[in-house]
Amino acid sequence: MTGPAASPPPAPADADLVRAYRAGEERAATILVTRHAGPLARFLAGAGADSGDVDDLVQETFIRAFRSLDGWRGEAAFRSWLLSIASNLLKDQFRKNRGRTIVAIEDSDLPAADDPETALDATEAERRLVAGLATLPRLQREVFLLRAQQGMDYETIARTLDTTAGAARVHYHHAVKRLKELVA
Amino acid sequence: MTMDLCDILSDKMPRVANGELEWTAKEAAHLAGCRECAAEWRLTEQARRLGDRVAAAIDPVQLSAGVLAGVVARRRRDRWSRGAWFTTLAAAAAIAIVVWTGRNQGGPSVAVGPDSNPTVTPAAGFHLPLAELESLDSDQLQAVLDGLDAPVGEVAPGPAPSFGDLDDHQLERVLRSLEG
Repeated sequence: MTGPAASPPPAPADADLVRAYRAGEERAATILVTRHAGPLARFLAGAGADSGDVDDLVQETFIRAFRSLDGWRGEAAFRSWLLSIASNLLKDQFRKNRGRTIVAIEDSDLPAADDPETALDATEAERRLVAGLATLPRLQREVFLLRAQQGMDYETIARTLDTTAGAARVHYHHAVKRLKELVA
Repeated sequence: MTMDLCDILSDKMPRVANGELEWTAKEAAHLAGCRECAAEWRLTEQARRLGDRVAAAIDPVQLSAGVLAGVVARRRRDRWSRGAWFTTLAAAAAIAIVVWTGRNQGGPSVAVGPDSNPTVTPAAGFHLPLAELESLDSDQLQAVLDGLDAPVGEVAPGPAPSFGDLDDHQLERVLRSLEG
């Protein structure tokens, strides 16, 4: 009698990894970093962080998170908690730069495409999107990114950015309306 | 009706872009014909690709090592700054105690010499009733001097003047000087 085909073990949940890290297992932290660094970097790049600063901001976000794990309430997704820390970091950085928004408009931020013509179109569209995002108020920009880029629902966005779901919806629609004018 | 469908599509866009849901035939047909929805869909797709290269350039192993080292370094720094703060506080408290004790020792301080015989030295602010001494005769003054120079516990060579040796007038002046 043969048993069912062995399937790969399910990936450990974030909450389990956090528990393991707090119990002294550093490998759990490595898995968490590997799992969430990409989306975090994409959010920061879209939200206006200079491409040269993204690495440092991602690292700083994780350091702050691991140092204050007591503040993470398990009911919020670990990623949205990380994104809220990253959002606060960006806010601090913009404040330090006296409100000047730093926008990375570099080819390295833009997607690659095999077809040069497609790549050129995509590059131009992305460039316009980055420039358009930079003109939006911070909340509109971040709500748009959390929804369109990170795929969050309004309730989660509201918890992440410390606002209400209704306000998040309004910010999103304002952002889309403005970006359509600027980018389309 | 069209507006309702626009709202439905708008709400669904992030999850479709994320691969969690698919458009129904009706929604796909609407998307093909509605300029507003098509523009929003393009924005959603572009936003999803934003920062892809920055994210791809991150080395998770190196990043994890940096994060763990950073956490340890911050903990160490916190401990050090807590220790430094405590040391500063303790030093300030010690200085405050020394100053307070000094101020409250108005009388003469007692120093213990190497021969273990305590000697008395006048402390700052200790005043002799000099005005009263003017009225003493030379024998009485000498006796007072001998008494002052004699170490504590050592018997003065001559008969030390006592208040009984002073007359009423002299006693009154001593008393006034003591009372300030």
